[in-house]
Amino acid sequence: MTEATTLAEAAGGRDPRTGLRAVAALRRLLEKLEALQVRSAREQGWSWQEIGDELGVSRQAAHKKHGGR
Amino acid sequence: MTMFERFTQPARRATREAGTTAAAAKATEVAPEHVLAGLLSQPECNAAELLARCGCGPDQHAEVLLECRDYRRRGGIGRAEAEALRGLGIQVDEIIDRVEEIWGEGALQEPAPLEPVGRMRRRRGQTGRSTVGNRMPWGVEAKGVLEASLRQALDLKSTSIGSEHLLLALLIREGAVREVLTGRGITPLHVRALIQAGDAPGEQG
Repeated sequence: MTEATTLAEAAGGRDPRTGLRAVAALRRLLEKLEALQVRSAREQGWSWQEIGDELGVSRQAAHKKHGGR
Repeated sequence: MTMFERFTQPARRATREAGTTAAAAKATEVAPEHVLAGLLSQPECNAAELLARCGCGPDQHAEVLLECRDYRRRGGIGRAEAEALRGLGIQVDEIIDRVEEIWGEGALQEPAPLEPVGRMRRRRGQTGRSTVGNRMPWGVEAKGVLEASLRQALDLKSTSIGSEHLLLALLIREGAVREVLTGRGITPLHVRALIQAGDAPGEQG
């Protein structure tokens, strides 16, 4: 747990390495949450336009990113 | 000679056990952590011996596998990273709990679990991957581990692929197993050095 504790301390601090690692982890989590929400929206019959509007991206961008799944 | 024929008996048993473990876990496909579970199920194999020498003996096995599961459940966020995020005031486990409450267990997991998650149903006409009999399909990551094990064996001038080469492959390929094991200080370099020092005698072919 020592590594974890050090990371926790550093995340709120100024060590770039751990700060960046935290951000990268957060981004990964965000991507997963986005995919989950988009899937749900599609299941409920939302159009790519509507999804794009909520995500703040174009219809094409939303479809390109999530349409293949 | 096919790749499978190069496997030593323990390595072969471990890969078979990986499929059984994946099926028991209701996974859609065999993932690297199932391969690890397979290796750990062979107590006499080189991989288990090497892990024990690195401080990960049989008493640690369940914990290691649990950590791998948690890593996946968090959508690829390790314990150390979850701690780092906690430092920023973000409680990853709370987020995962909430998401699973709404969407069902394993909602953020990759690959997605076999059962339709929560309220989400499969689209009509979309069938699950076939799992004929108890033959579990191998996922891309797990296949990558097998290929990497062959390279490791060749690299170490071994004519057969032993459990130790599968372990090395797991440590080299990015993913839950690598994260969890390296988080415990078990690095590919260290394991490789142990193998080269003769700590992994030839397994029965």
